[in-house]
Amino acid sequence: MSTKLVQPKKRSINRRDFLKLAAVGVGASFLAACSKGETGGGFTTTGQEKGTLVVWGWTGTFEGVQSQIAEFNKKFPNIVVDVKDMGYEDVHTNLLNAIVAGSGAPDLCAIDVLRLTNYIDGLVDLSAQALQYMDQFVIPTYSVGSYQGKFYGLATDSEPMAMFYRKDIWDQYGIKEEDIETWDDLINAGEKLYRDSGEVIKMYTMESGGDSLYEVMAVEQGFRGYFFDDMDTKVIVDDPKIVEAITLHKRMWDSKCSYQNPQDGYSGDEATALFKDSKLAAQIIGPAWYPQVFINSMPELSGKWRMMRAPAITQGGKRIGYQYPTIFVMPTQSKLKGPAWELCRLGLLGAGARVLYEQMAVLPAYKPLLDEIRDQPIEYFGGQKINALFDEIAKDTPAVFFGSGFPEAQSIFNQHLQTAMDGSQSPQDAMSACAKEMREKLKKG
Amino acid sequence: MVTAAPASTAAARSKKPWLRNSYPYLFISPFYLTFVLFGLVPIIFSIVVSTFDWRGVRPGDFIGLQNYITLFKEPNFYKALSNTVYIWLGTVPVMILLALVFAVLLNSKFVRWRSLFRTVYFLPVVTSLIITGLIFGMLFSTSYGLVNNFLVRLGFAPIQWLSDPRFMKLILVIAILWRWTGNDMVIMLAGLQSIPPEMYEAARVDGANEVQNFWYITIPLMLPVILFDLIISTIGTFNLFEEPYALFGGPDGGVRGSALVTGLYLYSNAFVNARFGFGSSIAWVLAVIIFSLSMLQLKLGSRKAQ
Repeated sequence: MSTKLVQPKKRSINRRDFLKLAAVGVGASFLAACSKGETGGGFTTTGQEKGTLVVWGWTGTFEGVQSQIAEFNKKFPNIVVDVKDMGYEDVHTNLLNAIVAGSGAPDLCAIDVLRLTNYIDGLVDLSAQALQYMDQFVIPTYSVGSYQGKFYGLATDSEPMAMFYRKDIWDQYGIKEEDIETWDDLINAGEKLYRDSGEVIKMYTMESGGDSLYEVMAVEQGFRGYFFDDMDTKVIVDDPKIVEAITLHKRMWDSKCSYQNPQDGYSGDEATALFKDSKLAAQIIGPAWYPQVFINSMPELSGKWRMMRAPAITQGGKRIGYQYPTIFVMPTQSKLKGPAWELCRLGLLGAGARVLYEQMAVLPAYKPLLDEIRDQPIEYFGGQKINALFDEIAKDTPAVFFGSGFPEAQSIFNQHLQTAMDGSQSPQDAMSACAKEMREKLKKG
Repeated sequence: MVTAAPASTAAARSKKPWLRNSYPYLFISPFYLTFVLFGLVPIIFSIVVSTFDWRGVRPGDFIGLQNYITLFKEPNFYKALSNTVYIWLGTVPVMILLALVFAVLLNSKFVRWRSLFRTVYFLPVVTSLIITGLIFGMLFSTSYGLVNNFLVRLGFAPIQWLSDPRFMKLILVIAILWRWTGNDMVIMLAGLQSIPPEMYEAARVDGANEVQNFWYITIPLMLPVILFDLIISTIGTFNLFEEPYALFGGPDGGVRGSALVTGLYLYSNAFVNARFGFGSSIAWVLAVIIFSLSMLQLKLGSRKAQ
């Protein structure tokens, strides 16, 4: 049997074939051109982008981003970065208006994380971009910038909560840190301090309508959504554990060692003046940015302060707390998403994080930087390694988040908290009324 | 000799009189176009928005008048309203009286350095809110304020001026009087200076003293200005926002919402809670209240003037 090689028939290329080939050729060229650009987990940049990249923030938020503009421009020479310093409320109001109006939003915007859900539908889901940097986030800054499994914003700092106390006053009146494990221990020590000092020195300040201490207690009781359950569908403020926390809150408020309602709150001028005059012995609500308030406002008290974990609600209970940092989000209106992500990354994960830390003394959300500084002894706190303690508190904190309607829930809660503090309602009744109002207005279970 | 207009011009005139008559409207159209675009359309839009449950950036659901029904059942709305009325009673009549007295004094020939006094009285109007907050903080701080320092020296206990619900509105009244009396004074002064001096001369010739001049000439002739001041002060009070926000640290009106006024209530719901529909309904109810009060004042004032 013989085989013959069958030669293919030669034929000329007709017009249809030519067009097909041309289309394939163009497509191939296009793909080749695209592959020359970088892909940052979903954003493709070529370095040839043009335009103005607008950033909104307020003092203490944008410094890191601003410091990286020169570095950013090495990669994107044709983009002008315009950083606008607006006030806290202006940023939030203007962003909301811009998103609703469909135009005018910046490319990057600093927001208070507790207002994240107000803007969710107008923000870019940055989960794909953030994934490759997961190991660079300080826990739980990733969760605070996320909502329902999607990541929306890089945090400018990390805000675990601790307690600060005047070691010189505590030593003078025989109060020891190791004896303070629960909030009730603190009340007892405070009342002894008040008696022994001739009713001059109080232990702490409290606000009748401020939820800062509640937020510490809520997380200690296991509610990482503060007012809401883990699925953000139910209100939890009438849960027996929360009522227990509010009852404790009321005991602390009624104690003689409590300085009630200082002007401008726990970090205001009046509290600062009382600390300076040694009429207050502890700061029970101490987010990670608070040490800088001490250093700036009370330099003469250097060496006299120490930091400890917030007391627990019950013996052996959790001693943690987490406040709300600022995050940088990207509105969907941005036409420079890729470059905006690059600027955000430079500003908050890397060299920019260092600038923000050095200028504002906030606790870094960028893990490599925190690892670098965590074991530095801080002279103001008598050489104590407060960053290491903050880091441990942050690691022990669950994945906290701020659910939808958080600002409104906060406002409703504060009103009812006041009725519990002034005695016009019991903690149980106050929280029941609070839960009822939250459920009606926020349409949650 | 009368010549007839050219046939073409006459024909043009008869065919397009509307074009000739439209020129005045074209000249005034920029204002009306701007008003329609930036005034009327937003007003109508806000009425529409008030019938939606619109929260945040998600599209809202049509709910008819439910926002208004909810508003009228809302205890905080009545608290804000009652606080605002309290502020009105404490500020507007006092401010008008003080402004009139200061204006009369500044209009008097026997007062020297009138420009200096005018500047001093008007200075609070142009003072920034941050400074206002600092000043009042220094005056009324519980532990370190000047006022409590004085009280303690007299043997009294210090008062929590800025966090005791019994005193917070009083401080707000004082802050508003301090800040805005100068503004009203300038308006009154302008009114006084428009009164012809011959009226006073004629009265003096008839034997009238200064008190009689003030009562029978100044007051009646100043009634339109006083009425104007009353109306704008009323509008300003119901739109009050900056002073309570600066003094009591935010849009919730301080301890127990004691300084919660209608302006703060509207802002808090619309922009902090991002409830645009509900916020629009608040705005419209306030607009109706302010309009009604203004009409009432206008009617009573006009009757008195007659």
